[in-house]
Amino acid sequence: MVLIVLIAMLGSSCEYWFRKERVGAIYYDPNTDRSDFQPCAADQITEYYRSLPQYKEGLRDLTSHFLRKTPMLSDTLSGYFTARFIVNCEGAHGWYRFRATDLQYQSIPFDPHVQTWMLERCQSLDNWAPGQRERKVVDSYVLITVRIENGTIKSILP
Amino acid sequence: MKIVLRILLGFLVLLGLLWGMWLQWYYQKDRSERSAYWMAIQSRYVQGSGAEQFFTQWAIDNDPTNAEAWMQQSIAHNKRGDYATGMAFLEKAVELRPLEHLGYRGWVKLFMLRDYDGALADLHRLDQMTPGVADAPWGEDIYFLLGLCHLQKDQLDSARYWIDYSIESTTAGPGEDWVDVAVFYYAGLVRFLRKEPAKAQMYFEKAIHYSRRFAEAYYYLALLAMDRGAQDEACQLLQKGEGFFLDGYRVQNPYFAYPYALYPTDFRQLGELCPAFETPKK
Repeated sequence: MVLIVLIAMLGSSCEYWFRKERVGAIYYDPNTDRSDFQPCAADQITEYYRSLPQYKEGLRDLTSHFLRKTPMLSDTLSGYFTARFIVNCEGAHGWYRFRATDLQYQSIPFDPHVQTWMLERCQSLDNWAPGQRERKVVDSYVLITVRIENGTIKSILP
Repeated sequence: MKIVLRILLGFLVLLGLLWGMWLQWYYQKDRSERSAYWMAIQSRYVQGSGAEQFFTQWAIDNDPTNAEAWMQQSIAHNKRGDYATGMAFLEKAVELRPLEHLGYRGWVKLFMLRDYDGALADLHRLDQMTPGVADAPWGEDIYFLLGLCHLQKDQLDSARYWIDYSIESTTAGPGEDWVDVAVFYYAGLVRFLRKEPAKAQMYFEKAIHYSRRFAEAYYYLALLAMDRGAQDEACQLLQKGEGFFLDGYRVQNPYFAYPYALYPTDFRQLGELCPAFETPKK
């Protein structure tokens, strides 16, 4: 009986780990994240392409928001600069994470000027309509990538 | 106590036997069969979950030449913005089986990464590998995708050439009704941007012929009608198009915005030129 219980416990903890550990999951980091922002259900955050949270009318409005205030960039700067964060079920957002690659998709350090600009632009995005699943508002992971070529912002994706 | 110990021992022996039988069955398979076994297991889990990634990695570990596993491993990373990891996995899949994965990579570069030169390189390479065959990366006609890459680079002559080629080759093969209706729409859009209103109108009407609720085609037909001074006709087209647009009959995808995507504001702004234009209440 003890053995059965042990096997069951091992199995269920594996199952829990399998389900919890996800590509791109964001966990609260007290060193960088505001404590007054919380997801509504931290273990059920959906990807943007499943729940479709929306900033105003979509990508065009996001793009104009980002381009309204742009940083001075070095002519040699190129790459994809991605911010990933959570828009919760009330439309509030936080827990920003940043990644960058060059134009050949190799990891590069995130340019500090771009990071400051992207963080400020992301934080000033008001009016998010939260994502929905089965007619219920949910938390969503959102992604905004800026493609920069030789110091010029070429596009905002996806 | 002794009985409990015996039952426990018996249980352990049974477990060991079952484990041994499974190992024997498992190791009778060659590496590619074992890899396929783990691929079948991973497909039961949600994409991007720990389990899916774990079992796909086992499939790769068992057979590092399993291109499908490398490609599968890339998807969640690319969808979730970790392009360094995702594209490295996809690079491996392309290296192992270019014929199967070049098209998908070109599609990802075009739509998800706006890397038009990279997409053109991948799609042309694939096209050269399959002479006489119209490939369909991720379900889209390859010549249409080449046309979209050029459209996004503002190379309207090349865009027109490839989109026309897509329509002509499909029409000459299985027939015009096999052309994806979006291809007609983009053929019209390229003509519109090239200031060829008659041709543009012909393609937008064709898009509506094959999909009568094609909202964007109505929008551009309304623009063309306004340009030739037919305001009443333009306003009717716009009203109709907006209704379909708000009902969801639009070129859209949950992952990314399509090139030259329209938004509700576009219909409303154009509608301001119409005296009796009213946005339908949804």
